[in-house]
Amino acid sequence: MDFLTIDWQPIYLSLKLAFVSTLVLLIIGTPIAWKLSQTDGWLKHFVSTIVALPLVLPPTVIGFYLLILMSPNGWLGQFTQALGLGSLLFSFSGLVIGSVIYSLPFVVQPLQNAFETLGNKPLETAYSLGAKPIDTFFSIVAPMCRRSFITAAVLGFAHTLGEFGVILMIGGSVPGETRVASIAIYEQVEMLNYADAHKLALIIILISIVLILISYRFGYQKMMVKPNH
Amino acid sequence: MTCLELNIRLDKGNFRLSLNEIMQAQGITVIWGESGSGKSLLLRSIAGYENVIGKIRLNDQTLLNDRQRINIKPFLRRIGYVDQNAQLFPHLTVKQNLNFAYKRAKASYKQQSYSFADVVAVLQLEPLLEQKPATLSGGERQRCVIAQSLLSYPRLLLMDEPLSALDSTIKVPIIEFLLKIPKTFSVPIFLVTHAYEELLKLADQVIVIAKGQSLGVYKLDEFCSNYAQSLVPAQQLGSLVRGEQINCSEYGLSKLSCGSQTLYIPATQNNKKHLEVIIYAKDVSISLSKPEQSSILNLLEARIERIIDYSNSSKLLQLSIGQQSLLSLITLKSFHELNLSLGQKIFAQVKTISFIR
Repeated sequence: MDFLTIDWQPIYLSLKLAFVSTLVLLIIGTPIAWKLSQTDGWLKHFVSTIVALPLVLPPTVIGFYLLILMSPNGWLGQFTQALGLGSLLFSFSGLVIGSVIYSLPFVVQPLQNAFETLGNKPLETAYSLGAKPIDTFFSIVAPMCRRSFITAAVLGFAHTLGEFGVILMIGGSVPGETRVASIAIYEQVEMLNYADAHKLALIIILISIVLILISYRFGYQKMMVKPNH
Repeated sequence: MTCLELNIRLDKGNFRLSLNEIMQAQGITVIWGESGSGKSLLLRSIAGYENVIGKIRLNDQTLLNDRQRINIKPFLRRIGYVDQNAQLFPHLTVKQNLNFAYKRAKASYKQQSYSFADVVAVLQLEPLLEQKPATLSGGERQRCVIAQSLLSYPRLLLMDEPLSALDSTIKVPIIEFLLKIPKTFSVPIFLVTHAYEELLKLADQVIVIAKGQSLGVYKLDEFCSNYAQSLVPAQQLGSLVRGEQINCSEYGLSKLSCGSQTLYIPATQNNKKHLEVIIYAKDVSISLSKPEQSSILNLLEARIERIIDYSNSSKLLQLSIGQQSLLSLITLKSFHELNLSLGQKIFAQVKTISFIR
């Protein structure tokens, strides 16, 4: 079939980037969301603001600062070079860092909402029954908030899939390394190669529909407490 | 016997809880006070959920001592906590909920006392074990929550208005369960309530809280007959009379033998030998001669031990009936018309026996 003759590599790379980023996002986003749900006052609002910034900033602004940080003279660049990892610029690892920052609010906010809605009561009950905090988190909080974890993961994944500006700034277009679908589409359009752009765009649309469907179908928090009869 | 030593202070907005009390916890201790007096905060402080300063000791363990920077975390205190809308964990079945507590308890506690099966049997949970919490009724859920807490093998069980969310018909059986717990599992209970009837049914002792401060710890009989500090309003002032149940069920009544005197009481379901009844002072009237042809069954020979000016329209009489005493609240007018005096022998007519426990 003619449709399948396209270069699948950008699609594959986009999915790989989204998958790895989502994994990292869940690992670092969960404790941030938890901490935010348990604190109050200035610190909470300050950290929330930082986490929410990518929602309002132009991706090029994030990309610009990341570019400076990751450049051989930037402290992140110097750090990775000192570790013998070379530069993060124009590398897949650099993209993961960019994506994690870019998609952080999409993972942190649903989780934070879920933890706040859950309230302190289940925690206090678990503590009074002798469960330690980490134990309580994994045996009570995580299962009770599992739907929000699905929502957070899907949103993080989908948002990373749609990333363009940040990648353009720090990743360029290295085939197999940083040339993800959104960049590939842009390049095809620039070369007036509309047929290939269409194919890639259509695949991205399909994947996005499936993802959002999953998030709506399984992600919403069903009321678990029935009224007394 | 469990000993709880409290010397704590907690500031919340404009409210200050400040308490200094040593309590021998045995059976059920009711924490009594108006709403907003700090009852729940006191329980939460003992459980370790509030940022309290001062000292808390349970038996020989210091749970809190801010000077020595000791503050045992809630999950290490071994104190059970059940609040008014206590929920089980919704994602677990009843059995898994009970196991959540049970498998986290140390093996040594389990061997010393009751077993998983004992708790399930006493609280009659066998048919509910495979159900999810959402399918339980209010009373069933409360039983499960209590069982869950017991299976963490607490040294003390704190309950914040455990009955207030229940329908009145469900309350009665739950009260029976609550009464069994301290004896069956040797776990003392601290229970917050603002319903006087629940207090009379449940309390062995009462700690009275007002505006964040303790007005003292009283045995139930000291509490309900406490006229001096007006801990209870006139309508609820009463006396606790102990006696032995004599099995006779004529006309649906039982007899209670209290020393030399006998009281008729409504027949009880339980076969307990020793019973306690509560007689409100307002339900005891005085007669100088033995009334003939009266519908009032309970007529006790009594002597006036003490006459108290209760209010500007009433007198409170403390009567001795054998070894025990009985309060009677009468109007000042009756008092003068009958010309009552100290040491006088009179007949006390008891209109109603309010509570049997």
